[in-house]
Amino acid sequence: MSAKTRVWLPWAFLGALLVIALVVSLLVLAAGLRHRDPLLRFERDEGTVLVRAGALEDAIRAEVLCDADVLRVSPRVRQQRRRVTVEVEVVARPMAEHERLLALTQKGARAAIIEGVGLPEVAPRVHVDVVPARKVWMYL
Amino acid sequence: MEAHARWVAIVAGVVGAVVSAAFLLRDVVLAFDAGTVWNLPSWAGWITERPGALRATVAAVIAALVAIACLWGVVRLLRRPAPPVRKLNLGTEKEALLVDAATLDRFLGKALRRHIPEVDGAKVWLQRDEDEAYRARVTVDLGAACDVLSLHSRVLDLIRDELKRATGLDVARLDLAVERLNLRLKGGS
Repeated sequence: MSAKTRVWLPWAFLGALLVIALVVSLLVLAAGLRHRDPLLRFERDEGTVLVRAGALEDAIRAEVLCDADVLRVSPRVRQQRRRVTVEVEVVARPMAEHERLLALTQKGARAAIIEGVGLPEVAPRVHVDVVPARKVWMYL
Repeated sequence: MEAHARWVAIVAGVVGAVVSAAFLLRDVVLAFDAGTVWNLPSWAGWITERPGALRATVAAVIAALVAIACLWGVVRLLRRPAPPVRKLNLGTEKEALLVDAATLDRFLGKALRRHIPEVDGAKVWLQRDEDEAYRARVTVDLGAACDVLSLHSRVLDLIRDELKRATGLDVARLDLAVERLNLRLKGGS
């Protein structure tokens, strides 16, 4: 083995290890970043019921967007320690009645979750933002 | 759980990619130009300094264990459900009668749409558990409000009934996945 080969061997070995480490890291990162709609899981005696969170969010969005004062709805349904949690953010037109929209969104979210798919009782957390007239363009 | 695993994968991936890319770049630069001075960070010096190779060995073992744990977590994160059964042998010990399972899956999906009015669309896959029992995986789109937890037993009863009549087989478990809801509710506005 020549002196030149001996000098190159450790570099090549270290380089190969680092390339492997880089590829593995990028694969791990890609797996973490891959978008997957979360599933709500309910265990039954003879199997499992899985409900896609996005399906419930779409149902809530459809319910609340029926109101003419609502500009944007961002629901978020998740499951934490077997409990379903629902958060809904509503952006409403200027001069819209805050309290009415709050009640309407809560009712719509509960209707989608409890009446729509029969999931256990949930208390949706709703935030209604009545935008001033100068910001309406952002939501049109 | 899945959300936590996702965050661990993102942090581990970013840290691993940055560190290994930096070391790789240093390796390449030093290999081509021996005159370049590119000192290692202090923590790397603590690992590689003399005496002995104990610290480096321990660091390498820990890094390898962390990498294996990350890969294991990623495999769990990306794992797919068990593959569906392709052929069913409905024959006896003496003669085989092979049935394409996809035909049966379509038949069961059609039966679900016909007998359960809330179901808009349904796909069925038969799977086999480790204990050789059959398991059905069903994905449904719902077109009307219904209690999904009681829907599970209705779907299981129907699949059991139809499968028993068609093939004589029994289904031990059912995984029911609700993919889409096309609801018209009266609770909202």
